[in-house]
Amino acid sequence: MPYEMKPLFEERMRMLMPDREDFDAFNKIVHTGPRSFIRCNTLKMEPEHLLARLRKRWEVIQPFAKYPEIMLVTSDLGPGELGSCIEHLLGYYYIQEISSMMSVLALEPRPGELVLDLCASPGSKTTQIAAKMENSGTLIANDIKIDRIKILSANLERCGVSNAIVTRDDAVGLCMRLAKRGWKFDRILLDAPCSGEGTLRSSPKTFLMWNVKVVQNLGRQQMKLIANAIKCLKKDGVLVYSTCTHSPEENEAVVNFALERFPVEIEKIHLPIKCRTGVESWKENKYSSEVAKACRIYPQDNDTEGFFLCKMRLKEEVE
Amino acid sequence: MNAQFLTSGDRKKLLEELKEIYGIDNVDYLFIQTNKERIRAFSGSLGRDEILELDSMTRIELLGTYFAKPEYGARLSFDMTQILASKITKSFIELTAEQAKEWMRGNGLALASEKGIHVMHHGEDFLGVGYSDGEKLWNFVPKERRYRK
Repeated sequence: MPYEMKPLFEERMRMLMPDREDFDAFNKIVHTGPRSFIRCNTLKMEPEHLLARLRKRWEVIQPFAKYPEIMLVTSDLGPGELGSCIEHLLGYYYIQEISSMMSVLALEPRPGELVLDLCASPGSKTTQIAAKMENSGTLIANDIKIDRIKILSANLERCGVSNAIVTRDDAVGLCMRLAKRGWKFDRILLDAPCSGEGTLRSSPKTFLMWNVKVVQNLGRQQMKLIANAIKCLKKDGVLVYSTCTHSPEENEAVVNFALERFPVEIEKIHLPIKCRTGVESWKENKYSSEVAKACRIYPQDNDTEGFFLCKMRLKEEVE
Repeated sequence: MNAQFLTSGDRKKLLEELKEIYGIDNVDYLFIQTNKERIRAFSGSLGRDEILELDSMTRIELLGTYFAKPEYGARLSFDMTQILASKITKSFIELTAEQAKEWMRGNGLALASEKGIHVMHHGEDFLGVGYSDGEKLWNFVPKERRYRK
């Protein structure tokens, strides 16, 4: 029996998608499995070369000319087929949902920079950042739980990432200590722990586990995270805040909190998939009009999972 | 951090082994050795002092990538044979498609070859190293990277 939305969840999603047809399209697509996107690991192989190899086995397309590393396998696949082929075992590609690739496209890490990935496991975005940095500069990849770090480490090894330092710490505490010692980063990815409303297609149990109290608690934690992360940015440094959820409490409210307390400005992001603007109000709360520059990715717009991201630049260093 | 930076003497010795076994001329990594006797390589921009400072602030679980184990000279890790493929100039063993499949299942191969470490490859795919006792090649493909049975 398919999972159904809890009434309060449905009510909230209808508020976000007031157009009935839009909501119906959302409700329909979240009951289907996600498509099979992969990302070529350019630390080990060139995209065109990988494409030629994979096309001997499957139908594969590169949906975006600007990002040849992003590929979509359109053939019908058996369970575990993508993960068990030789190209995957050798680390030539990473299985990654396309909306989750968007955070790193927005972050735009460059070779030689000092980058912090605060909630790094399982490592899809970390390996994507390392590839963009061409294994130079330094990438500090942090997570709090040892079992999650083991998965992160295995993925870093498989992808041949050699410029990363993996730390195990509470992200807030780590940022406080880094800031106190004057460590400042060019770029920070804060892909925050969230309620996962955007992952219904790959993780249908989220339908059952969803709880509004969890959403509210996470929103408070995310504010603490972003406040401390911003203190670790260099002047003109970039922070990308992202979640795989739709709730404004975990998204625009967190961004609005940062705008009110820190000298940050939001930058418009240009992504290769359709994004909707951030919501400027939610229930009784009114946010800065700047939050409209954030990106909401809805599953029905691109046949993907759901996601939220916002790119901020620090105008002056925070003590 | 449960690891120590390689001394200049140990680094020199490692580089000599790489040259002798694999023909690798130069690699520009910061090397550390873990308690498990594994040598890890870091290509990042932070220097030794900065890494130690970071270590004083937080728990470093991992630095860089698994490079080699100091046995049979220097036994390169599975992934390093791919990363350094263009620099490796000797000790290759070319496998057939069938042998490569067997190798990726984690099995040894009954292939007579010179005693010592060899880099296994099938076409452009570098599949780690094996140790030959003269008659058989012993397999070091990590369990999580093998074909599932």
